[in-house]
Amino acid sequence: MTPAAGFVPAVPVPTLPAPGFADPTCDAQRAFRAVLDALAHPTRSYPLAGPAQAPTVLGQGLAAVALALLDEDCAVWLGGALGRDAETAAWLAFHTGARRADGPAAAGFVIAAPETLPPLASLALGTDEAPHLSATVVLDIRGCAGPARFTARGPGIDGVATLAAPWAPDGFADAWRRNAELFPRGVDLLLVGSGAVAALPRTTRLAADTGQED
Amino acid sequence: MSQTSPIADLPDGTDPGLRRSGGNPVADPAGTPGPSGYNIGYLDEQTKRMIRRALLKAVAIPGFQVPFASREVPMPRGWGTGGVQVTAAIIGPDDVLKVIDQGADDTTNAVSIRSFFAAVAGVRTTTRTDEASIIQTRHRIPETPLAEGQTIVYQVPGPEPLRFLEPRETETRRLHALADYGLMYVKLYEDIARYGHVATTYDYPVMVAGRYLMAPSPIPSFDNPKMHRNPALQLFGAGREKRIYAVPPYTDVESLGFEDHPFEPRRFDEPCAICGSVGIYLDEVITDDVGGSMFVCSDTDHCERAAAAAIDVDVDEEVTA
Repeated sequence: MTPAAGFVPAVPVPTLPAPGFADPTCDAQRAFRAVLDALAHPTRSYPLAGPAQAPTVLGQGLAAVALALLDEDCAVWLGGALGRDAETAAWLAFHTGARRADGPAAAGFVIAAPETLPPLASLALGTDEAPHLSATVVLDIRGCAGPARFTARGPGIDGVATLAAPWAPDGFADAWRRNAELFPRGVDLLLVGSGAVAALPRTTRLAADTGQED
Repeated sequence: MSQTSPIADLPDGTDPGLRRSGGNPVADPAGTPGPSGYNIGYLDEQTKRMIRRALLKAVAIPGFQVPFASREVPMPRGWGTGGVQVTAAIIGPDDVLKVIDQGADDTTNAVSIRSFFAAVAGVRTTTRTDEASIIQTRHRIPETPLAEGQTIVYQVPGPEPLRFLEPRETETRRLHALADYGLMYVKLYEDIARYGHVATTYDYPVMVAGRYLMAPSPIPSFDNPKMHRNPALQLFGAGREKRIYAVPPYTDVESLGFEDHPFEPRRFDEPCAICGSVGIYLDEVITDDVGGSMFVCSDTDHCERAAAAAIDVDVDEEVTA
């Protein structure tokens, strides 16, 4: 909408956020099922379709997870460039109504790229009586190219699985081991690319992949 | 009524209260009306998100009971409202739904819930275990082994396995936090001391992934071994008690026992009177007024297919003879 010539608005005319899901009910259901399947089958990747015009910094994958899971009952913390992007903030506020947490420790959902992810132990870990009140980390793994590979065991994995983890920052294996030792407390990790999601629930045990069968 | 509505954009005759978020029966303003006029899956989108977040944490903490804000659904508490809410939160147009009640596809509760989701979610339904992507169940696990990619949703009346031993919720939460399950072992021991065996034949307590004591819902102990390392995702919904819990695929589910009194599931010696299957769970059906009865499969899908296969074999034998 262009203001009529000669009319100067007293406040800047806000730009409308880009649309969310084309089909809010069915698209959210598909995105949720991808996340549920990913958590039920740790290390496996499931296709994830997001809104076509999602904010560039957020990307389709993160946008799909946000639309499927977030609403005004949630507190979200955004790391790095995501946290500074006004378009993402406006888009999330408009479509989800989720609150922005003051810091990562107060957030139920922590959305960040690997290099801006706070230490896992500094996030909400839940309590022994209420371990479900821990943070869900939504990791933006677009464009990651690290060498890390892991073998994974635990509930949801039939025996052992291998996981290429180009997103894993230095020291991740140790941080994840300490997270698992807290069980039943601990954070859960969603690994979201532009069109796919994988997950590591707190129950998954990782070991460096030496490429040898044991 | 022709008064001007305070909310101008509502169609005539709409109760404004129904448009509030959480007033579930109408299509969510941000949702998609299903074929019935209700939002697809019946629940409003905000309720689904709340249940979905609970489900994700339930899968991440196998066996732990996640509290959730159980909603009203159009059936009484105790008729599977927890299972219905879990199914409503996960179901989509690509799913094929099977509903069983005590193993049977043709009982009132099973038929009602199946037609409910056919109406509000527009999904295909089936009675075949191997064709279903979601199986909602009351009190049985199908005889046909479940496959990877399938999801089984249990209707749970009492999610807390310690409830009859410790009535206080504050205490049972603490016992779970401390993994202090001595009470349950004492109960099993007292059964053995009194009766010579564990006198629990359904809802037999299990340990999930070596950490959480869990009520498997009132399935017969016969079905307990099927939960162990099952390739399907197992979700549990307790509507009245407002709890959701889960067992991910390939997860250890051990029925409690002692070294000298290990867990023993119930066994049946006789075959099914209709299809002749052995090694399956049987129901006793009264056939007359003088004490006559017969034992038939509890799983009607299994029984129908086994009976059809038996007829095929008979025909083949006649042809070759």
